[in-house]
Amino acid sequence: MQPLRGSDSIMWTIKFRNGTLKRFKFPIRTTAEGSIDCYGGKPMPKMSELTVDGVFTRSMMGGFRAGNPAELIRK
Amino acid sequence: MAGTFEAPEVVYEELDILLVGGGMACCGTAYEMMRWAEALKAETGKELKIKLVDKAAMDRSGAVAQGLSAINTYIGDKQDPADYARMVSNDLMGITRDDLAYDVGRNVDDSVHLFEEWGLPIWKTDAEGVRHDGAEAQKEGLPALKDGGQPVRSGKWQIMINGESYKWIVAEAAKKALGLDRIMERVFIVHLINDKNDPTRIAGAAGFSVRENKIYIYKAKAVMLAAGGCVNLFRPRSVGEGSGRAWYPVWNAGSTYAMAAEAGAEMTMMENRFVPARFKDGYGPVGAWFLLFKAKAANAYGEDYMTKNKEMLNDYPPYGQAAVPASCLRNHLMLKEMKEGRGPIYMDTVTALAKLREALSPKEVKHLEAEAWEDFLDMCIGQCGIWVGENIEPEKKMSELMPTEPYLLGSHSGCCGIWVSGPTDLGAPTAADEELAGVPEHLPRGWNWGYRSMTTIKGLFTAGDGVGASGHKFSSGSHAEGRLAAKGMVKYVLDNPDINPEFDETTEEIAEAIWKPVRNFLQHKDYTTAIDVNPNYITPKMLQFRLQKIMDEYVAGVATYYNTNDKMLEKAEEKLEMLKEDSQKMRAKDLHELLRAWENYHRILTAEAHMKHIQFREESRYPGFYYRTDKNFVDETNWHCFVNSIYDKKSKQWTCFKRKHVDLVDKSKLFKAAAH
Ligand SMILES: Cc1cc2nc3c(=O)[nH]c(=O)nc-3n(C[C@H](O)[C@H](O)[C@H](O)COP(=O)(O)OP(=O)(O)OC[C@H]3O[C@@H](n4cnc5c(N)ncnc54)[C@H](O)[C@@H]3O)c2cc1C
Repeated sequence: MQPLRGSDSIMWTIKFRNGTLKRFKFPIRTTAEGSIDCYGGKPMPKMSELTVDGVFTRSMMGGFRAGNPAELIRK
Repeated sequence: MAGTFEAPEVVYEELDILLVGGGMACCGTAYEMMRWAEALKAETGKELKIKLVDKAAMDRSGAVAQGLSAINTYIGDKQDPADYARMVSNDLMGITRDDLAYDVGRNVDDSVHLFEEWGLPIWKTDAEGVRHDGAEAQKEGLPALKDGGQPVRSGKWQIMINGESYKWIVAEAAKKALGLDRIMERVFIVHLINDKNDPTRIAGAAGFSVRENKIYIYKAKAVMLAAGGCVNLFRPRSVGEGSGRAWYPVWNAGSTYAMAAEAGAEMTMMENRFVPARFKDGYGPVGAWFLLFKAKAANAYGEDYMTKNKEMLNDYPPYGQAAVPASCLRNHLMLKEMKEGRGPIYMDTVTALAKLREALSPKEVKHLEAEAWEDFLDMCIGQCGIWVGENIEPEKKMSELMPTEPYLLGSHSGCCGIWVSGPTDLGAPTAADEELAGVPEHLPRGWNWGYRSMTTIKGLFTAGDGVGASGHKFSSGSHAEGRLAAKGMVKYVLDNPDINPEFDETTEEIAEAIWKPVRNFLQHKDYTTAIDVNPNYITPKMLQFRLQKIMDEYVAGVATYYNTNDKMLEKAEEKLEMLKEDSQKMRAKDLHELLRAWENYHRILTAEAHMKHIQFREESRYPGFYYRTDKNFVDETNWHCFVNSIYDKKSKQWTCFKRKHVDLVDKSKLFKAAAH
């Protein structure tokens, strides 16, 4: 098995005991290596919000799932 | 002055916050924490001194090192965090903390959306229902998850990715957030240090470089301990020429559990273990085969044991009656076939692929074949090695399945770990609620004691595999959990400006303790002519064999088909104590062996915790993962509770006790569907 890892994809050549050859190419990332701007376009949190539940990107990453309050049976 | 093997250099540093580990959890902590640290600086001018220490290189460290082909926890916009908490509970036989699971559930998708933004290719389904891999989806202009893009679900909670570089991407963001000056790679942390004036407070941590003759001692007000779970504490199925092959990548050695226990943190559910049924010998993932390709597993005679043996599920009410039986119960049904001699067990890849071919175009079939191989090539290359080496083309030849040796972990399908403070807004028990008798006086009551993810040791936090009684967080949930802990840590440091931790040992004592295996070697090496044969020391490798033999034969390893009993546990207890004594005689002939020595020490403590908890819990809570043949039943009346413990590093003794279990979401919903 032979990998060839490039900047956006990896190519594999695999050879079976019986000689069968297969080649595959899979993407590995959609951005250039080293290009991540981790806080770019992200809010600067306020220290007064430190105890509010959720992470600092909550308001803009669309990932907070508030949940149905009726599911919480002890509240 | 550069250190030597005889006289290592001691580097001492004072910090506000130390992060131990560079895996998914710590990468999450670093990302979240540095933004709050920036905000703090902007608002008050105060700068926090923060450092992350990893035994390996962050780009490829931890369980995600090789890559993954699915993100196993993504809630999406159609499911409720309560459904997630229910699933976690069901798979772990009812004893989990809903507050922790729910909190991960409501926050986890934020991290997944970030991963996609950072460059992780995530498969998408287009409006026609056609699947596209992550790069193609982007080219086709399909929206990102955050903008309503639809992932390819391989299961209710899992989404498919092209994840060869998953860890690389997540680490890049964490490293950017921290800046390289705040990162120390290739430093193995050996133990945590308690505060001299308050033994229930953390004061720092110490370890050594695996590349240079250097000992690192850090003083810190708060410490994140997220060094993964534990592998190789049981004798693995692959020994000799296959040694090193295990399902769980071999580099997590129980450091999280051992160091937390030694620091006095309350542990929870250390009796839990994970015994994955995977492709035999290569340990390739089965999730995509079961969930995406709809393959079935069968015994050697073609019988679907999940159907054939389904009556056995009725032995374990109510868990056996869930729509999806717990992972351990699925093993339970498989083990019956193996024990009664109807193995090998097979994954019927042939029928599954043939069925899919009927419905698909030739182009789609080709894509499907590539998907099947990518599943391995992205995360478990060794499995491909087996397939090509044995001429296994999945459309022509079925593959063997096998339950592995046991592993301990808290973020995959296991729930052992450390007892932590949870969120306050979900109705969790408080200090005013009733607790079971026997909880040591000094430990907090209720499920929150001020800071999210803090252990019962002040200033010591954990995440990912470290947090017990939850589980099924996986890569994404561990990252999110690390982020939630980051906020708790910053708050703790700000709330306690006056703490000035003092070590309960001198720096000389700390350094000597770490270097002891080297001293053992240097002092005795000339006593014999063969370096590995010496009555005065034991090589780490031999000690590891001894540990694995004890665990395998007495504590329900593969040798006994996962069976143990009170008498066998008594034997194990005695032998482990002696092993712990003898661990002081481990030698290190080089830095690599010093690493191995301390990894094994961490494994011994983890193994001991596991053994003591199984002994204390007088039932078999996880049939299929382990059986106590003297108590071979699930006892809801007496054991529907957490088993927690503390370790006293001075007397070297464990104390186990029960904690009350409380549901925060309605579990009866799990069992209704299957009742008819
Ligand atoms: C075989 C396997 C397959 C998996 N498949 C999937 C999957 O398909 N999808 C999915 O979403 N999740 C999957 N997971 C789960 C996921 O990998 C974990 O949930 C996640 O990695 C846990 O994060 P962590 O930070 O707690 O531990 P890890 O990511 O393992 O990180 C531990 C870190 O601690 C460091 N470390 C260890 N000991 C020390 C020490 N003494 N001193 C300093 N540093 C130390 C390590 O180098 C590493 O950086 C899989 C896990 C395993 C084991």
